[in-house]
Amino acid sequence: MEQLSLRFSGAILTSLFVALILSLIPLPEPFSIWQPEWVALAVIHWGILFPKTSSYIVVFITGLLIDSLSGTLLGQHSLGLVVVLYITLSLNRRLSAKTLMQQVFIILFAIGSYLAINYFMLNISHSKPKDWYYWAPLLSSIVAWPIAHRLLSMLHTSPRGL
Amino acid sequence: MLLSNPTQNNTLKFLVFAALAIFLITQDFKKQVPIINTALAIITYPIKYMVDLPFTMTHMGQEFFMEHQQLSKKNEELEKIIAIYAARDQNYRSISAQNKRLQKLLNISNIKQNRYTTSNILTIETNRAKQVVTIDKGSDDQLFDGQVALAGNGIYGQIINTSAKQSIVVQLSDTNHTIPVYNQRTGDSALAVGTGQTNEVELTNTDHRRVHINDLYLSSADGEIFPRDFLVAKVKEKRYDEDINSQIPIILATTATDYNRARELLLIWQVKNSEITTTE
Repeated sequence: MEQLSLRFSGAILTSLFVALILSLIPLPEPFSIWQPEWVALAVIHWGILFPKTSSYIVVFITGLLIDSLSGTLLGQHSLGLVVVLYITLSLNRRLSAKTLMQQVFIILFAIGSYLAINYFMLNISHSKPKDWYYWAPLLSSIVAWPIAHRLLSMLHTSPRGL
Repeated sequence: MLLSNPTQNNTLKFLVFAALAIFLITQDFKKQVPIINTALAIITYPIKYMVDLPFTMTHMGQEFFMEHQQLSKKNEELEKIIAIYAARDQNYRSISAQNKRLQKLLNISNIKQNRYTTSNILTIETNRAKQVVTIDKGSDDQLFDGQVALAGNGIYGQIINTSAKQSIVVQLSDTNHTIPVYNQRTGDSALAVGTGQTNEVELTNTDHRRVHINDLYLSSADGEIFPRDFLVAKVKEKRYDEDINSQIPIILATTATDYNRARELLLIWQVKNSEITTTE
């Protein structure tokens, strides 16, 4: 699977950093609830295409940074992202996601769990989200996936047929 | 043999890191990892600053390219306001002198006076369940947990976390936030609880029959956290919850601060009269 190579070392770290910044930029009011989970999308991308290079440590630390930036419980997003990576790696080994539908299936499952974990943790820290639109990023992440996927693919050599 | 199996290796790693994360969560829940929190806050400060930079730049750019005519007009307006305030200030000074005399007569001290500083908002929370913002001043500027932040003439919120160069402020509309208030018209006290919606609080613990639409609620100094008489919210609607079929309405109010617009905050120190030495 891993015949691809990164265009430069540190490409994964760079992309995660950019995703982190993207998720911090506030969107105008009616769109703000649709902010896609950029970091989780990046983790899924690297999990699918570079399963051996994907590192739990990097994902864990990225999660800690998100927690510090958003004032959530320390480790909350780390747990979420570690679960995202685990789901991506396990599912990808079974169905080696080449088609869009398979990828969407992985996203649905991984980001769904990610949001569910955050939901649970927010409940614990007594800032329970009230509305259905807490789950809006699940939909917007799927919509944003092809763009994120294409952009991230610029950071490595493309495989034939993808 | 066990480690060479990629599936088991993956699961093992996952379990180790998941356990580590859960351990951290429990420790942070008990507030036992302030060192890690502070270290992370220092690392993430440049990131927040970077994200805020475009906004600051456009703001600065707008001011720079504002036309001369506009500027002088604005200047004129501001000078007018200053003149009005100066006149009011005179009035206040004589009143405060009178107050002090009366206090001496009555042997009261402990009247609270306030000291202020300004601060900019760096980032707005992306997490939709929490209404918090980060500001660009911290414990280096003597900010402290629980300190009150104002925007314009209304209360904005309260600091919940300070580190050296930045602090996190929770807005009045956060579901975790409650502020004691009183009705300006009737004097009835109430609690303004955040609803999680932007610019909205719910008024509880008050007699709903005596609340009218458009009543103003000001902060009461109950609990000694918030300063007295700052505007908090204006009653917007009384709604009966159909699900519960309740006879008691939910009273919703719009906050005095427009959280979509506020970019600068005033932070307030309440100083006891006897302690005042210098004011900024």
